[in-house]
Amino acid sequence: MNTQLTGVVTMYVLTVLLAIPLGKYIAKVYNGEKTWLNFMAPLERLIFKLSGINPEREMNWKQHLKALLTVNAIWLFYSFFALLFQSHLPLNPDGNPSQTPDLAFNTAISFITNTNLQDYSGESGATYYTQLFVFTFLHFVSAAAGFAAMMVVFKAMKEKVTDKLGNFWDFFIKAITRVLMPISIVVAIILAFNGTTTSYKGKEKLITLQGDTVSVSRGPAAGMIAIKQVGTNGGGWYGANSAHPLENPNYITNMVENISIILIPIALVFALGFYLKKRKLSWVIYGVMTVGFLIMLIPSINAELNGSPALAHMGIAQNGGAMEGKEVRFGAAASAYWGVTTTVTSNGSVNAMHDSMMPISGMSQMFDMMINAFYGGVGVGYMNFYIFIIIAVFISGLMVGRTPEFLGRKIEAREMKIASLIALLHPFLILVGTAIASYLLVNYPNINWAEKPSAWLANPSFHGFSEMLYQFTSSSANNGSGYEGLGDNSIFWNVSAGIVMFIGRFLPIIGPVAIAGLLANKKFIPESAGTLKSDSVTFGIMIFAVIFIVAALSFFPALALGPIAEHVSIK
Amino acid sequence: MDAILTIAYVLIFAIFFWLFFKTVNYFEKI
Repeated sequence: MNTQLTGVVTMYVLTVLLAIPLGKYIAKVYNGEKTWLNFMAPLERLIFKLSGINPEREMNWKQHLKALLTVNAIWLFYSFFALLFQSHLPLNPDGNPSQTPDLAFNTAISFITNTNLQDYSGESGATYYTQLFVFTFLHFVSAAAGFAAMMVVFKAMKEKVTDKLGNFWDFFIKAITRVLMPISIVVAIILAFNGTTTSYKGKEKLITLQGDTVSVSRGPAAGMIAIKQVGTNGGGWYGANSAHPLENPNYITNMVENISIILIPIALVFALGFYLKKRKLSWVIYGVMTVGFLIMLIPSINAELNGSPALAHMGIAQNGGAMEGKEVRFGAAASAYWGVTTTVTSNGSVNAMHDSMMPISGMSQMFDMMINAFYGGVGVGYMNFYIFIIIAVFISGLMVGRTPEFLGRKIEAREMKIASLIALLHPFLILVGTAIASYLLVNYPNINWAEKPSAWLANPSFHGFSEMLYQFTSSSANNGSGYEGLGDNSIFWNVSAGIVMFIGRFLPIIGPVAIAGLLANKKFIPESAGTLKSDSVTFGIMIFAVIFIVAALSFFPALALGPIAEHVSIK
Repeated sequence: MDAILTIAYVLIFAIFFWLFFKTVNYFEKI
């Protein structure tokens, strides 16, 4: 095995080795058991006291969702106005301007929805105030909100009939104090000691070896970058994200950041098993997710290591693989691995330019986001998977002629209606958005807008279509990565992607929490000989088939027009 | 122009959150 592949295998093995104990720890925290971070309890009590919250007050599923939506609304208005007036706020040593209303609209939605699509560049489009007190703040709270919503689903899956599903604020605060913050502190320290900036000073002028004068942006970046990865947020300090040498200085930091991207999503799958005391179920879910992950990963690494056929036809040697848009310090395999891990987890940070990758990699990345449930984002990944479980249980029930049941609860018309609406929402947002953009580009290329549609794309033909498809896929999946060839800082893209991110975040949280809450209120039916076993390999295969059929049928035509056509054309 | 856009975006935020709250109630009765 060559060095590049050894690095990739090491990263994945280390992630799983860390994820299992972390999952056990998370289950202990939420089961109220003693853990080594119990010393955070006084801080949590202080926050509850200052906020006037009684963490013992049990909520039903509707109260959970209303709490989540209310606090998100407050964060959104605060963020929007902070970005609009950032030039007048403190901590702006570089004198960066305020954001325009449409950019602030897009950016505020992007960060509260855990997407972190960045139509601005951090060096010039944000200040230290907004980087710290808007973006870093939202990195923590948006991840914790998804985490808390997922805990409602976990709690509802326990074997008792109840509408009391814990307290949202208790779940939310503990997600920060017991999970996100401790891991982020460790990651931030590693980054800081490896060269990531932590200074509050503004840009520094340097004279390069060529004699040019350049201004290097600095800032207290290490902490933000840590939670950007740990919380599957992805919004970086610098415009080039983790391809920037100060955001991801070397291979060690690359490994640490990449492990941080998928650590919690995998740990949460194991946490489910420990929490419900159904470890076999979590292994089945982990197995399905991992098979899907590998199906995306292997072709992508293979394509990047083999290099571009177009360059090969010209007789150019590509010993390191396809290196356009990649960092030499990471190499082709680690860039492909990052590309897949960041898109399966709705993270969206990049260590190489996805726009420059081989069409097969582009297809893998888009398909990851279209499925959006192989590991998935913090909390929301499992909730997306839960929708597929409900559909698989229902179809299995129809196939064998039994009433569909999942963990002792009957799946009936109401749950199926919600699951179907949520499953269809994602393709609807992506395909309708791309269709509208394509229509405008073809029929009104020179319409009198500040940014004409004819100027949107840096590439013609199939790849240009992929740039638009990727943008809506990334927005709906709350991923945030992008094909940088798309000129996305314009009113059309800021507003359309903003609305897609908005809907693509909250309805897929509301749906699974509603289903789980409704099921928890139903009579519990003990397992019998006629029960469909949800922790069996057969059921795992069924879920996998449902995921692939739903996603393949929905997205294959669009992928055929973009990356698949491009792949065939450059052979 | 910026002021009009700002008001429009605030209205969009409000409308969408109103829709999300309505969806919660809708899913209970669907």
